[in-house]
Amino acid sequence: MPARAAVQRSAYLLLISAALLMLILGRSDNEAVARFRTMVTDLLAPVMAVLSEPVAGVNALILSGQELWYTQLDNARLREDVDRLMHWQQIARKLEQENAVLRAQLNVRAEPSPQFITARVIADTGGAFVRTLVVGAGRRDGALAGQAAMTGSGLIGRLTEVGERASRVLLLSDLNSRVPVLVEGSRLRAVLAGDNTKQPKLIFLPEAAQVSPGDRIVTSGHGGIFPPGLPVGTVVRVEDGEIRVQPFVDWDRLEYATLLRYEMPQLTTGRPGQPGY
Amino acid sequence: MVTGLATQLFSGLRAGLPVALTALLVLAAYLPFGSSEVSRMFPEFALISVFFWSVYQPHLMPAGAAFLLGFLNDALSGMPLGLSALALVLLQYAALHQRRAFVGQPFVVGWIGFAVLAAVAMVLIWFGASIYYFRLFEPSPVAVRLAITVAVYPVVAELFSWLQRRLYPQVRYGS
Repeated sequence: MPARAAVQRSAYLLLISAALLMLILGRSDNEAVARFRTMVTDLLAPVMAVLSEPVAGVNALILSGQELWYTQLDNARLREDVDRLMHWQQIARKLEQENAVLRAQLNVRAEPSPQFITARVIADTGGAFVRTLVVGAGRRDGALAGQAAMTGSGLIGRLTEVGERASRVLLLSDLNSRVPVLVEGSRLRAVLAGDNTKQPKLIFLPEAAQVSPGDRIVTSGHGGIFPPGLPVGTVVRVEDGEIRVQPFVDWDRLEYATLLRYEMPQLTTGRPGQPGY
Repeated sequence: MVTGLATQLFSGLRAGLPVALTALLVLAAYLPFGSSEVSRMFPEFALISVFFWSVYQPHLMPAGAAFLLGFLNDALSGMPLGLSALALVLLQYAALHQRRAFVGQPFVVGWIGFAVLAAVAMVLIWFGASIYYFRLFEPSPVAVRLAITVAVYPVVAELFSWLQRRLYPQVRYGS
């Protein structure tokens, strides 16, 4: 049947051109393609949430088994931690007071304190090409593109696509992730660049910068994307000018993510030429 | 009348089952297993399914369905939208037009055929992603995933043949 064959051939041509068109538009950061993807992710969110329930259950079971096994060891370690942290708490209290006094004297404008949204991770897409997560919070929960996503231990990435009830988090380790950071001790500025490995690279450091393993990396707040001072990770390797950072976050225990709602007063109310701009 | 409608509905559901099942398997790859290694090692069930049904029951896996499965994968994974869709449509085309080489042949012939076509599809995805992101990706994760996918093919194919026998008892397997 030549007519049927012709219809079939044109169906293939149509599908292939549709795929190629999506690729080309997506490559040029087309808004419609991004919105389309967000829409599909949004629709899938409830399905993924339901499907991930049993997985979370099994994970919890394994975890509680491990915890039971290690209880005694953990207890000893935790008691030590409590002693150490009590000491730090005292120091922190003292510094907090001192800071408040100094800030009052200098008339520093208080930084806005961030609000939190906690969302469950409903999809983990650590494929060969991209490193992203989908979390079950969207516009209706107050999520906005660009917000920082954290765990208790540190930064995991930022929101890129925000749907009505689900959003995509671009992880620090993704190829396209660039985060302005500071080396905490020296206050040197740099950019943390992901390259699909578990340990992102530190780039754009000044030539003569001295960075050594163990240095803490925090967000710098430059570029206005993230609030300053969020913990990111520690430098683990410095070799041939390549500096690798181990993020604080435990990639294998990512069940919940905290999204930071952070208003940048300079960006919303400031004008060029004004202090604080 | 009612029975006619029910029969139609049932045959519609029956025809949609392979694609629906594959869609679920595509979603399953991205469940938060607590370790990103798992989703990196997860077999590419969509490749197996599109190949199997295109060869043994082509009317259950039309090109449009292959496209949708790929699209679903791209949308959820955050990969370039359209890349898996393109690869799966091409795989469906190749499997459908070569099906005479596999139907009625010993199982291992289908297995080898799958290995070759799956390799082509995954190289295409790897190559496409490399162009899209303008960066040569490490080929080893793709090779590992291909090996795992080819390794689980017999199990999945066995499950699908069982399903095929249950869905269409009058059609002999492999004909």
